[in-house]
Amino acid sequence: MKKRGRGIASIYFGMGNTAKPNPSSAYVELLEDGSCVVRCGAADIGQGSDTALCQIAAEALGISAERVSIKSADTLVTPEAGYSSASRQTYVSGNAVRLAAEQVRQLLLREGAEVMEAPLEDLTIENDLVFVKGSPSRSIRVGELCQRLRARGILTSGAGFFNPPTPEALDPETGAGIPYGAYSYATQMVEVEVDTETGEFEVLRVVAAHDVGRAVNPMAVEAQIEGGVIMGLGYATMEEMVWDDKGRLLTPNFRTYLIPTALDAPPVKAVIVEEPEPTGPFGAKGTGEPPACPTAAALINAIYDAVGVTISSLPVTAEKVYQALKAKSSKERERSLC
Amino acid sequence: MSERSITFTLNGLKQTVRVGEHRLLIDLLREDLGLTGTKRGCGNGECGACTVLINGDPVASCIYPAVKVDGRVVMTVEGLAKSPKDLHPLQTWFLKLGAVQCGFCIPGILMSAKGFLERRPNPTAEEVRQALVGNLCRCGGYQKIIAAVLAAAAELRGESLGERKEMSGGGALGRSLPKLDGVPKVTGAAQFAADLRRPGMLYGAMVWSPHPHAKIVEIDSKRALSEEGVVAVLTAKDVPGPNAYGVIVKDQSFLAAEKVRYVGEPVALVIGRDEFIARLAAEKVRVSYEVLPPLFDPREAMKPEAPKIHDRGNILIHRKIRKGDIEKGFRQAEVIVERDFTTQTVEHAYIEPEAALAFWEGEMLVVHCCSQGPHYHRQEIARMLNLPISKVRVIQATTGGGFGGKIDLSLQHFVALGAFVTGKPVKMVWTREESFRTSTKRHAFYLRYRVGATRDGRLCAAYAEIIGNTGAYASFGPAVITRSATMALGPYDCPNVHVDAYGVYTNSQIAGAMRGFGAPQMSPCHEPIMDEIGRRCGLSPLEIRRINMLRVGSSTVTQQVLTAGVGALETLEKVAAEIE
Amino acid sequence: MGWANYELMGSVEETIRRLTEERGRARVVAGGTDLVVQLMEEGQREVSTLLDISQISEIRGITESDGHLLIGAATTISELASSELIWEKARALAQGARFLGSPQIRNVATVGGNVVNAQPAADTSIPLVALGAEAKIVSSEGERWVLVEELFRGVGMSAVDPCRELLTQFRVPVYEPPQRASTMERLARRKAFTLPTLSVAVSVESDRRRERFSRARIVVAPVAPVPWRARRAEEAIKGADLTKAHIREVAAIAREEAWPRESLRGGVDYRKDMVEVLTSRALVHVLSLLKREPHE
Repeated sequence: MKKRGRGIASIYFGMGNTAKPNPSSAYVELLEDGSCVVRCGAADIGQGSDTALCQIAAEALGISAERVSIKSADTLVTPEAGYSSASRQTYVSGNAVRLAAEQVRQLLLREGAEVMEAPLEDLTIENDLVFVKGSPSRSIRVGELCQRLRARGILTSGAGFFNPPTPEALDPETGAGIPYGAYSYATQMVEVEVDTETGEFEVLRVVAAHDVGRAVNPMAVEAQIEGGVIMGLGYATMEEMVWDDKGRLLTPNFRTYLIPTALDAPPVKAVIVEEPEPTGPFGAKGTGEPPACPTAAALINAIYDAVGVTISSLPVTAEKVYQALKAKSSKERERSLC
Repeated sequence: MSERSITFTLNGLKQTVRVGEHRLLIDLLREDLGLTGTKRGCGNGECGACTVLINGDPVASCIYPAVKVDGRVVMTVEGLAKSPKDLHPLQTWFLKLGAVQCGFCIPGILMSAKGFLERRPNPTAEEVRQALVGNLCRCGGYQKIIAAVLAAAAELRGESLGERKEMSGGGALGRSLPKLDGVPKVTGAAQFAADLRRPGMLYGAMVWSPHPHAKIVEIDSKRALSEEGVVAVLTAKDVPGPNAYGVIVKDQSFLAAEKVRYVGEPVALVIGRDEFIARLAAEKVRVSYEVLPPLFDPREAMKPEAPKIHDRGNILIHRKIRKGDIEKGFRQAEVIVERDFTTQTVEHAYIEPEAALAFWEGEMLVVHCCSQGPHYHRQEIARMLNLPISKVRVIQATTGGGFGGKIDLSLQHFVALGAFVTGKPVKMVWTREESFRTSTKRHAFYLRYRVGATRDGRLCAAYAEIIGNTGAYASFGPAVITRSATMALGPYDCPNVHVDAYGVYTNSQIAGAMRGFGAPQMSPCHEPIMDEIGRRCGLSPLEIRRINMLRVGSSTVTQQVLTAGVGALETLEKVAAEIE
Repeated sequence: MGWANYELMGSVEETIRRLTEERGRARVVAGGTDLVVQLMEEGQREVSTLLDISQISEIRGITESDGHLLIGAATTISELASSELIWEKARALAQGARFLGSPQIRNVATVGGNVVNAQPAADTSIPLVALGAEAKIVSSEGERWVLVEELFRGVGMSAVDPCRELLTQFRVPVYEPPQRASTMERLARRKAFTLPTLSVAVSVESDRRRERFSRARIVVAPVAPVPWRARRAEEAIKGADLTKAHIREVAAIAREEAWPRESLRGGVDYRKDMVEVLTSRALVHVLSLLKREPHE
């Protein structure tokens, strides 16, 4: 018999290293044609930090993202930006890049104010143009301002540094303290169909709602969410390192250590929630880890919803579901006999 | 070694090459012909990263003998685009729809997709999934890949397609820009560490411990050194500086000196003229051990009478949370749920195995490697080689996924030592088995929870005991345990919370950073508890969470009062909208 | 370095000659998806030469003759999986081919290689045994036909002598409705590209009036070092009415006689219970192929 169920699970996740300083730094250099180079130690390992940092620089400068390029993760050339872990690069390195870019922005605005004979606070920069807010017809190209500054001996580069606020150590006895500068929150739903004869179950779909503060690149955020959910499902259902009693690994390859294939991956609906993070760059915080956190939990709750058994260990396997169902029905038989 | 001349068509051009009869197609392509777009992810035909087309059929080139290609037509990813400015629709759609993340699996997937679409130009999504079953992707979850294949198929059929709708108005944020480093990843031009080479390059191979716990009695390198082509056999005594490193606690040896603490622990390093020679010689290094009793269960290892794995004792860290008055809290509780839960050890399983190349550039020692944090690597390498930090340069190569597993040193320091000692470039690439066996893993947790609520569903007490198997060395253990303590309850407000979180050494593989750092382990424990409490109070899973979820003004388990950026309830409501 | 010499063979005769000349130092390889991996992972000291038979046209292809399907041993798994003939007339074999590996593996792996690799749960071996297939083994001494079922000596131990013999062809009795059908069921830890927790392949013949089973083969793996037949269950099904109750009984007998071991892919109790479930499902399915609804 096939039975369906739905389960939800929620988590929260601090951005950055726990109760420890974890600073990042970045350089932003605006060139005389209005293009921009970012240098930052943040390693892009596929999550898209290079692209996100360029978008942040572009936003802070008021130029188009297509004009920004980045050199990252070379210790001779890029300043330190910590590990690409703890879901911290968008939040911490993003802020470092923003701060560096804002230094350059200030140079541009001040020069623009002089050239256009307008008060500094009335100016804005958008789409590579500096103009008085509300009067875009009279504008100067960012590149031109950059040239003017150079002619006066002022180079348009900035250096930014950010460490999450309040990285206090936790009290060793009570754990009290403020361990993170920002938190991400998430809820996921798993819909499952269980085959009660074999214990096999199929995840029909997953809905994953993640609060990322502000999505710098929505497609990249979705990709992280989708990938994290599938990794969470692999963790939930099929992955397991096994050793013999002498500590020798019995699962040292992909034939014995199973990760999800394209057929195992259910449709995932990624829902981006934006609850702005005041300390994040333009409200953004990270996304890397949270998607992998609640999926197994939602699955376990979904299986309970479908067939009334709660699995007590990972991975959840057809065998465990089957044995739990068998135990449940023999308990019920006993009770009905009494 | 016999060689033979073979003739085949490669990316549209006829080639005649001489190849050793023992060679595999993947090595003929990558090493002899310089086409490094085809990747080795496992070496056993199990991951698909090495997929090429032979007579139009997707084939795993890592298990395909090179000679077999004689008389056939071969296509690799380098043959897919007409030119870098004239990409194949598969390549452009992979970029447009965000199907590319780390890029390591992509060439293989492009080849499988190309072969498939030639035979089935109008497939369903399900058929695309079937076609890609032999191509593992760890970053992306496949969904965007499927969408990109379908979009490319439509374009190849001459149909026009809509573009992705953007979320934002103007500005650079909220724009789904295709990734800036995307084109080289779809053309096969991206240089991952295993794709790098330098003239005069030597290879490193690792000798690792077959025992989970043992004293090293002697390391005899004589036989290995006498092998033709072996340049050096390095052990702990060849490390110029301190023989210890670690991201938090420096308890891990560069190369094991007195003791080994897990199967797979590196003991010696052989530097040879090529990979085959180095690996063969590594098997000839004779290490004698005095075997010690191993401990694999952290609950056993934390007992005071347990044999010591490290001199400082087996409990690496005990992190406590003490919020409120737990006894009072449980007295108030009208509903109490207890749950024990255990989790397994898992592996990052990034499709790119670890790889690094080190060389001298003048006075600068350069390490070009897979990495999640080159500055950290630089600092450790400089310290252990007694070099000024400014004389070491670490460059992150395009990296094929990390998920926390490429932060610790894995082989970056080995190639660095090799180059340091020999003066020549030294490269090392782990096999999939070496990666599985030696690299860090996710902590397995033993959990005991007890949570109480009043009948209106409000949490009033929570106790969690977390015992994490941190394995043979500390790595990120203290951080994982500390973070776990702060997330142990989940995203809920509870006035009385006690957590005892332990990281315990065992002779298992090292547990370190892995995506989620404890939350994936704990949520399958606390979330079913929430549902159960809800059931006993007559509340649905949504209702019980609405009542207890953190919001502005809530106090966390570390007694931090949240002031802003709390989107928790909104995520719950978004999911609720899907259910109701 | 698993081997030193790699030669492409043009005929069966050339292959036998080279095998003989090499005196045990040569092995036949077709797709190589098992042998190449084994030689690289474990190595076999005595093997220095691989003889590639994948291009010998006389041992490839699928034809029908005289109530039998003739399948060349070097036919690829992809070819089996996409063959209309196999789907219609040896359904369980088509299913097995579709379960096997990944597209990359199926494109080069061959049915002969799958059988000679002698894994008890191999995806084409189980259905071939269930269909009562025979294999032609050729050597310098001549040729013989052997039941595929008799080709398994133990895990990884084939009755085909790799130093002297070549499996060239399979002869598979046609199993096609209205009176005959076959099917395969498989449980695994992942939806694709993974070894089975349990597989069951079943072939049945019904009597002329399609009211009773006249005979069946029920093959289960991995529950023994070789593909295993549930003979008591097969006995019990002979002459039985086509009812759900009989199917349940027969499946229960199969469960009783099967003795799987503890394995990474599943525990003993679970796999025993699944023998019953999969056998039952397979029997119900073949009935539907025979277009018969089982009575209660």
